[in-house]
Amino acid sequence: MPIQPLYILSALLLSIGLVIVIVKRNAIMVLMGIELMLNAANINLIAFNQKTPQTLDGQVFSLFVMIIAVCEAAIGLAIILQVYRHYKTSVPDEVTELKG
Amino acid sequence: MSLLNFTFYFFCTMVAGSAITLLFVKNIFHAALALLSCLLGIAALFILCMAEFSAVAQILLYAGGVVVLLIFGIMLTNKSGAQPIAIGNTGIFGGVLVGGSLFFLMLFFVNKSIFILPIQKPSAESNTIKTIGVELLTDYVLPFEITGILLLAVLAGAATIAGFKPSKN
Repeated sequence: MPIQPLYILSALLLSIGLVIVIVKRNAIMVLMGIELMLNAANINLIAFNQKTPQTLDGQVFSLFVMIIAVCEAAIGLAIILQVYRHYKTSVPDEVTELKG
Repeated sequence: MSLLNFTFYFFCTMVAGSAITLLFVKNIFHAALALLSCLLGIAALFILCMAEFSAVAQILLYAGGVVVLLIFGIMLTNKSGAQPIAIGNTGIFGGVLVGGSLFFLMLFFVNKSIFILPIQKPSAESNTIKTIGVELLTDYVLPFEITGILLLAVLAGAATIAGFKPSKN
């Protein structure tokens, strides 16, 4: 497989994820942007692993990245649910007070 | 162009298109579906890169786990009977400026071809899953065990944070 398009695709996914995290006014949408950025890192790891196919270091690292992403999604959604229960909104900009 | 190359570029286009859809879509449920197609396309790219185990893990963890979790979150933070939440945008200029400049910076370095090394052909008898299993329990045993502890903490933490607490009064 050609590797160069995978680098460009990974760069595109990382940039789009960053724009989503910055721009969107919804906490769940921000989580989706973070998932996109982690997937961009995964694509890069798998693409570089093609250069040394005996060792499989990149694939093992991509597994760890996936596990961390799942943990982050679970905890993030739990926090978003609790914030929604308390403030009745899932827009991060409207959650401004610290004291319950 | 061979069939393999055609499939490769087809899935590349699918992933990029889904990501761009995710950026522009208004309905948050449609955004979750775009994310799903993006993740499935990435799994197909993993298979084309000879990483079958990562592809299966991608489908199981992301398409089966994270997207379902996100859809649960969308449904639970939505008032019943109302329209799905429309996603507003804020700070569009700064976001697009940062994202675009990051993309073109990375494109510049990719096109300078500093990463070019000869690709080695995988040997025919290579057994990816067996090698990954052996590496996980020899070279990577410490991260593997720490990941186990992390998963336990996340399980307990998510249940504690999201659990229903009856109000005092």
